[in-house]
Amino acid sequence: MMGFLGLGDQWVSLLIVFPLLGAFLIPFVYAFVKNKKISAWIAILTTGAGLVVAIDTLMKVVSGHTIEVIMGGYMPPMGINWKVDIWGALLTTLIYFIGFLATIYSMGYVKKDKWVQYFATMQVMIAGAVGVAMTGDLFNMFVFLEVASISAYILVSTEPEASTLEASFKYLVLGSMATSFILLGIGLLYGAYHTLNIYDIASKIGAHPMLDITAIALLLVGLGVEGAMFPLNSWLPDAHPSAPSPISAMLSGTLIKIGLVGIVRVLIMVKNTPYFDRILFILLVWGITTSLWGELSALRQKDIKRMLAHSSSAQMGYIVAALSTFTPVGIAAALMHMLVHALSKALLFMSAGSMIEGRHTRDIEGLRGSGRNLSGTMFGVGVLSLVGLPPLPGFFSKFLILVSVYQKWGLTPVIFILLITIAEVFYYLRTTAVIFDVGEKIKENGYILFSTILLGITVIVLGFMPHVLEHIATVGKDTLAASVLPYTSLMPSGNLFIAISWLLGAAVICLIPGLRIVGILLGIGAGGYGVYTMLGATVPAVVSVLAYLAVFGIVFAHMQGDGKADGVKDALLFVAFASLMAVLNTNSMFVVLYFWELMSVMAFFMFLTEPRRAMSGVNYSTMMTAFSYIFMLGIVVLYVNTGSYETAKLSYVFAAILIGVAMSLKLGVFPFHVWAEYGYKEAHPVVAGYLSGAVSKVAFFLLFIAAAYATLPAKLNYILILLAGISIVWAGYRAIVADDLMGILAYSSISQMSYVLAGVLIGGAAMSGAWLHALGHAVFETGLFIVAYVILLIYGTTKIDELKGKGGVHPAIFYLSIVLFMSLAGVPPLSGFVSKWLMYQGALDGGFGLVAVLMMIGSAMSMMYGLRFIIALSGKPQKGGELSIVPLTIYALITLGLGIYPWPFFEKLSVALAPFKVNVPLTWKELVLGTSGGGKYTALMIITLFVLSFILFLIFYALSAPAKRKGKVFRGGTFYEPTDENLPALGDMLWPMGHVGQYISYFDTWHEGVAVFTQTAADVLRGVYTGYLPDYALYVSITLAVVLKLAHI
Amino acid sequence: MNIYITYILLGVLLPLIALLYDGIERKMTARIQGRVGPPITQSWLDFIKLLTKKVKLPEDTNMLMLFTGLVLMFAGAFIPLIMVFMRKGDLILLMYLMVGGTLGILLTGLAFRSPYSRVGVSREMQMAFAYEISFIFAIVITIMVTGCRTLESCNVSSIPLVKWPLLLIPFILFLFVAPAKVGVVPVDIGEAESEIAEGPFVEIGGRYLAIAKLSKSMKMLALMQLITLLYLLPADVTGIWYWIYSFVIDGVLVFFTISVVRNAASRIKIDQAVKFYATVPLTIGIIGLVIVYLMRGWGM
Repeated sequence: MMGFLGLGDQWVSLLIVFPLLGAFLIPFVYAFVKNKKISAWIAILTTGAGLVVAIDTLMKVVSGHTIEVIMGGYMPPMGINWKVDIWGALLTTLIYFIGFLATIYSMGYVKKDKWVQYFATMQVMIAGAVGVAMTGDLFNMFVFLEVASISAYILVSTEPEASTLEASFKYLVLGSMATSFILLGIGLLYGAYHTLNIYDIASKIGAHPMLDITAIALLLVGLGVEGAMFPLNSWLPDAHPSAPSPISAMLSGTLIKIGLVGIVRVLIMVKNTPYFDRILFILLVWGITTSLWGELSALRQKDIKRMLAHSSSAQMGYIVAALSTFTPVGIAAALMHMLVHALSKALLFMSAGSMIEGRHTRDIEGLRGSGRNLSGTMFGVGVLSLVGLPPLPGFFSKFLILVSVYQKWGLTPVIFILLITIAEVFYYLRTTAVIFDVGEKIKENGYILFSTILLGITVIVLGFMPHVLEHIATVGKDTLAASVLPYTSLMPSGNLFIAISWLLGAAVICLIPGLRIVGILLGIGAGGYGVYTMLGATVPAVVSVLAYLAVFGIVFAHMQGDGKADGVKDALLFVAFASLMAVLNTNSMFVVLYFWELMSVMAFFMFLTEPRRAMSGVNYSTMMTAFSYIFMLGIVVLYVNTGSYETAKLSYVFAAILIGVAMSLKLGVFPFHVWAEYGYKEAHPVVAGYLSGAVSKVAFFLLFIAAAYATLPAKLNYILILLAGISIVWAGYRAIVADDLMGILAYSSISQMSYVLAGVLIGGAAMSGAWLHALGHAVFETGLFIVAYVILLIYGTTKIDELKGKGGVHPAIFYLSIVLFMSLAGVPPLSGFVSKWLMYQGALDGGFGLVAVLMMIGSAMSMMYGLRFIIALSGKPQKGGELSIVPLTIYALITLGLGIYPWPFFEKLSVALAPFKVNVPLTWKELVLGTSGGGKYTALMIITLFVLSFILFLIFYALSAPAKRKGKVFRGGTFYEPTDENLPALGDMLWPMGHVGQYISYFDTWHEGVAVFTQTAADVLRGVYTGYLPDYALYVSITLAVVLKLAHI
Repeated sequence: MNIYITYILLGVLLPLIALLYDGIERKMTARIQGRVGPPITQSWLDFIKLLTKKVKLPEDTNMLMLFTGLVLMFAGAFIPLIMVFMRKGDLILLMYLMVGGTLGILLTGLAFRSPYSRVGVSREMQMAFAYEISFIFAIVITIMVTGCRTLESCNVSSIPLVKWPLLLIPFILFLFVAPAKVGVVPVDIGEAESEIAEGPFVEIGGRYLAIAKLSKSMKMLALMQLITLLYLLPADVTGIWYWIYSFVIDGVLVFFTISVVRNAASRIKIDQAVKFYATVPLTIGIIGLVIVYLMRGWGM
């Protein structure tokens, strides 16, 4: 659409006029009227007016119309012109938007006595930045760059202290070096082609290759300094933190982007030269190197603003990497990420600034607990957006970057980018966890809050309006939604939409104190309705039933909790369950990815509801994100190689392998099961129950899909099966020697899901066993988590040492736990036995003898650790947690029923699995009569014999003399009164087991070694930033030499 | 004969025969020790005596746990006993039922709030885990060599003569398992009489003890018959000869694996036991598996 102001193109010049006018008026007016507040209002007025024109301009450009304005009637290439393409229009809008908000923010941040010079300088900076963005002339660009930079140098040291002045000075020197290089480059180009117009040079370039390359290198290096590329960004870690927060927001949000836009102009100039591809490759390597240094340096920062500054430079690296593809998707990705990063980083600086103002420190530890308010929430929003998590816009831009880089440059750069991003996830989540801790509340300033919240709302809204992002990034052509970014498919439809809406409504209600129970019941009902709408004999339907069983039990039992954080947990859980339904109910892997990541976000926040578990949440989420990146990579590979996100296209083996491996990791396959320590053991029982009961089933579902559509190579299959077998035993051992009830359940969960993993990959009878075991696991494992929750409620701890002789629960809960435990251990005739038996048959059929042995040993182990759990419960019966009896009874009945009569489940399963051409002996006849040599599970015979034994038992009973209960245990010559101390809790009595396998527990700390290595590497890398200005100047020179050398090869 | 009649008959007779074997074992032990020993019907008499004794249990005993434990213990010995003599049923199911029997012992021990029983339970648990490993290896190697999964088809005679040596390893493993599972010195650590006063069974008497002892005897007989069926039945014998042959061989096995072992060694400590079973039989089992894989690889 054309602009709404109805002005001609010429009026674009207003975008320079307004801020310059403001810069003039502010001191001029102040000379007459000594009211500093007027300065602020003038600034707001001019910036606001500029914002309106900027938006108008953007709308014009997005409708496909590149604005060209000729100054003074002198035609280019002699005269100066504006040429506002999408880069210019978008950046200008961003500059004005963030500038406007920063101006308001400054009213609450900057000391009043400085307002006149501060606002005036800020106006000049805006003018300069906008000029660089909009101009089509090289020298003009240089002038405006100088204008903007000099204003920036001044603004950095608004608070004149030693550190800020030093930072400002470094920025000045390096910036001047940069602009000198740029001037030199421009001079060379003018000398060769006698023109300063960018587009004119583009048409003429090529006649003098050596000179061209030298000039281009000079330009790139000079612009790279401003654009925060490594190692030219050495001024950044000092300058951005030293500046007041609104200026930091502008610098990181917009000023470094003008370097980027400059680089775009350079690329436009050299587009048709023979060395263009080499330049692009240099940019790719440069971008990734920048990201690497930026993220690892940020990892080690204790000053929050330095961390954000390093992160900015890293993000610039990603944008440059996307730009280096120079494909339509790549350019769209770069544009989108520029937009997203500008807004998110500004938001981060603004919200951080609010917290810094409240605590008067920039140290992250000093800011602990300052985030339980709106500022902190906005910080959280900024973090999620930057890291690329739904429902915020960063998800789309990051994903596009990956697709574009993979399309053009292949797998290796994408793997680098993803690895580097894991560090980013870690430090951002860690910071979020720290600020969301419990702590002294801070005072928040009205102006500051206003700007921060407005910016935050913009970011959130953009996340839900990806069509706006697409419209801007594709300059109105809207080519993304149809193929690479099908965000329209994210909207659920039909009955699923209704179910999800109800679930979200339930989540909201849970947050209202007093109405939590209502919310929970509503959520349970909505979830049930959602599952019901999906009901049918399909694989997703079966999985949804499994997940719902787990969630139902957990949430129902959670109604007994009355902590403050419980309502929040329930709300998060319902949102997560809604996402889960969306994952199951779609054919598009893009939708799966989006909602899977959303589930991960919800899981992370569940950890944050309890401060002492927050760091475990960070560790868990980081590891899970690392696995999700493998998953994401698989989806990117799928799209680029098959052109679609359809699940059926997973027959493209490499994609299926990536997805299968990612899901195996999420199920805890050895040796990557170490996340269970944080995600299950250290989590609140309700959270762990949800993760283990429901989320693992969805991971299993995705693994099944990957394995079903593609035939995994036999070697990989065997390795995965073997690893799963090792996991069973390894995790079983860890469960036996665990010192915490949650630890037992955590490793038990890994062990049991490894059975399922192995079963799916082995196929045959083991496949049906795996599905039944998944159902059983959703039931008995979740049930035991519920019991652990009851223990937590009654005793306040789940550590076995602290429970000692106590730990008793309501008798009904105790006996139900025994039933669930027996199913876990695989005692016939419960379902746990049937599923394990089927898996053994499958393993033996397939010749996997070692795996069969491992499975059976695992089963013996499960008996041991299950028994440890039961023993911990066997204290004097206590009241408490009675509501859990309902879900536990349901679970016990299910596991008993399916153990005696599993065939209805198998019949449904065979119908569901039929489309996948999975051959499983599922019918009653096949199971009982068996194939040649196959085993037989004759439940009827077993039951008969059980009953017979019981009858015999009773006969003995009747024939024998009666028993009386009287008296106490006699020991050591006296009657024995069991107390906490002398009734052993069996923890330390298992020391022979602990001794035999101590290396196992030691091996499981390997991830800490990786963390230490990364941090050491990070420290080595950031040693580059010596703080010594001559070093930095040297880096600039070295970079120039390197770029020249590379360009000339 | 009608199948149901057979089952009922076996159900009544086999426990009696198991007790008889217990008596035979006691006689053999006595003779090794140079005593005359009790008559072989002594166990029957002990059983009846125990049934008539009045029992006092501590007042805080968990009755439901005790019952569950005893039923499991009983079923875990009785059902396998019927299965192995009827030669019907799945091999893995059999193993799991016996494991269920061990679970029964553990639950029985947990029913009492006595430190002896608790220690007994923890030791029995660790012992069970240790010998289960050998048991598992033995069963899996047997299945892989003979290709059978059910008791009907599992038989040495079903495989060619040249493969018989392969079954030597599982047989040896079973010899390791047998004394541990039945609970005789040197590895009766769970019920060490002189150390922890019978461990899980310290507080029970009368009819409960009767059930416990009966289950133990049935377990012993079932295990012996299992070994016989799997490794010591050179031809597919049926009819009356099957029964005679089984009982004779069972007796021989009882002598060698139970009586001799019991009298030749003294009890070892739990950590020694766990370490031993986690290394020596495990190594043998792994070697056995490797050999089987190699044989398969060579197309045998």
